[in-house]
Amino acid sequence: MDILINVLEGGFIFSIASMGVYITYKILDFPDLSVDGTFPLGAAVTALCLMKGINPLLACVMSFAAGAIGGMVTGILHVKLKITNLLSGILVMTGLYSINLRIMGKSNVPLFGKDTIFSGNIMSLAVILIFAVISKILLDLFLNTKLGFMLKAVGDNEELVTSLAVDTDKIKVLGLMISNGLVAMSGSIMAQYQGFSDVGMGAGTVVMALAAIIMGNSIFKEGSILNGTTLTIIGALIYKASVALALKLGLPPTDLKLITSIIVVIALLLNNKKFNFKIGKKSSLGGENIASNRKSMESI
Amino acid sequence: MKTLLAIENLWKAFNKNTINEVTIFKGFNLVVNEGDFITVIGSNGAGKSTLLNIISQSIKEDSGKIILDGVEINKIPQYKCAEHIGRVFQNPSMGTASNMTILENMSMAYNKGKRFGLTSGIDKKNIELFRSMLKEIDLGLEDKLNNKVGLLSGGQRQALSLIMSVMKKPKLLLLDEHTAALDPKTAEKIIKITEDIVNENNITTIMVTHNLNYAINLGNRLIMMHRGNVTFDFNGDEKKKLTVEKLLDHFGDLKIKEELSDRVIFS
Repeated sequence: MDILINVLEGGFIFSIASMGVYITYKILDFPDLSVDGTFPLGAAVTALCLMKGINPLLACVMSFAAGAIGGMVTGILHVKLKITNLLSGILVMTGLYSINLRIMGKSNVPLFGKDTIFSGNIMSLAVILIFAVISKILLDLFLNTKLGFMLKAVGDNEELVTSLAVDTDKIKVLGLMISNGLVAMSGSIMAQYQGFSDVGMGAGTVVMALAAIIMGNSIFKEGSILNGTTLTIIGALIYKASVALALKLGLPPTDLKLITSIIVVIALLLNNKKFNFKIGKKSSLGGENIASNRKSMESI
Repeated sequence: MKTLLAIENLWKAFNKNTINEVTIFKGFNLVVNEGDFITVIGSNGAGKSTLLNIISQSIKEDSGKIILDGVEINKIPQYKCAEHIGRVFQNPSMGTASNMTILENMSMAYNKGKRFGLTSGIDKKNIELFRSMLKEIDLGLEDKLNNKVGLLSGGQRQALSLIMSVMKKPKLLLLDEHTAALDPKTAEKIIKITEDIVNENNITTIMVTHNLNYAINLGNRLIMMHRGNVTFDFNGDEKKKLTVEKLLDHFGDLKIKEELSDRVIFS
């Protein structure tokens, strides 16, 4: 039972970061590695805020803002200075390592005894769930606005967005800001949950988030009920569960990163083979099935 | 008649300062009047697509002026000059977002020129309007508003691209061989839709095509390009008298002249 709760808690915290990566990886089609730096950035900002006695909720918001700035830097490096997307992320991630150390002053800051979002009488799981659900709902709402449509369209067909007289550069930067903001907020909650902030806690964020996204999307098929963000949350839970299972089977925690990479490889393999459980109506690709009636076929 | 588009002294070379340098335009000039429907033909490498790319500023010119309705559009960012230009490409997937539904695509196009803010992406009031637009082109798309565009056939996508490109009436519509990737029957249908849309809305249009029949039958002006120059420019009545044979003769003339000049060089 304890394990289950731990998995759910860890999974939901992590699902927020995964939703952030979902924006860049799935929607913007931008392989953003800066999240490995913005996750501990959120934790570092939170540590600083809590040490100074700032309200923990406000600390979460400030972490989001700090992450958004990190994402903005990645975006500007890419769209204005024309550095490739991969390298822009790596540069920001590397630079943030030093910045995080500066913010915290040392590599590990314990937060025991400080006032955190978990200090109240509410169950930790409930607090985490509220954050995850609010993030998901807000993200879903945003993706259905006109601006959200632009975000989706930039990843789909940049040419189209330009032809609609919208600056694709701004949209990309905006997407990166929201993405890294969510990741940093996830880092903030993680630091408060585990009771310390560590400069190394971000290593592998991007791979773990990818594992969650790919698992969610390869095991289930996207549909109207199971939309992208829901699948990402499910994927994050499955990921945490499989990690817990691996540990339960006796693997040492030091092997976690290796296990994660192997999970991603397996998930990608499954994805390629279209080995998935379809929920709802089955549809196959083919001209005749797509054209709804003979008339529309003949008229073309 | 009012001039809508003026291209003055346009120069453009590719692969500059390399051994592969190709100069396409050397002081190219073109004036397009408001309401013109121009068809452009010419051999490969004549600069037809480059011309459209420069007008829409997806390629920057080396020097020269491109003036659209009194505004020098080569001085403003590409996305801004797109506000007054509609464009349909040869590749049907270029004009739509394939992972989004027809409804979402049309909603985006409908909002062109306005703010893309935090209001709902789909305005329910417009659904009926969109449906009637799709009904007009008669491809059965009106029942598929919630289908992803990626599932449509090339012809259906191209028809949708056309509708989307004129939803907010552009000052200038650029059609870049927009039927070339389609089978003949579908191409015929798209040409018909093109004609209807352009005539109904009275949009100034430049259409590049390799089909001489379309070039002759559509529009009020025909331009033949060759090596970055306008070699023939048929207007109004002159164009009505054109036949495919006559056009082919003109093409032939160009070839002979070229061979002659080659012979002169190599002799």
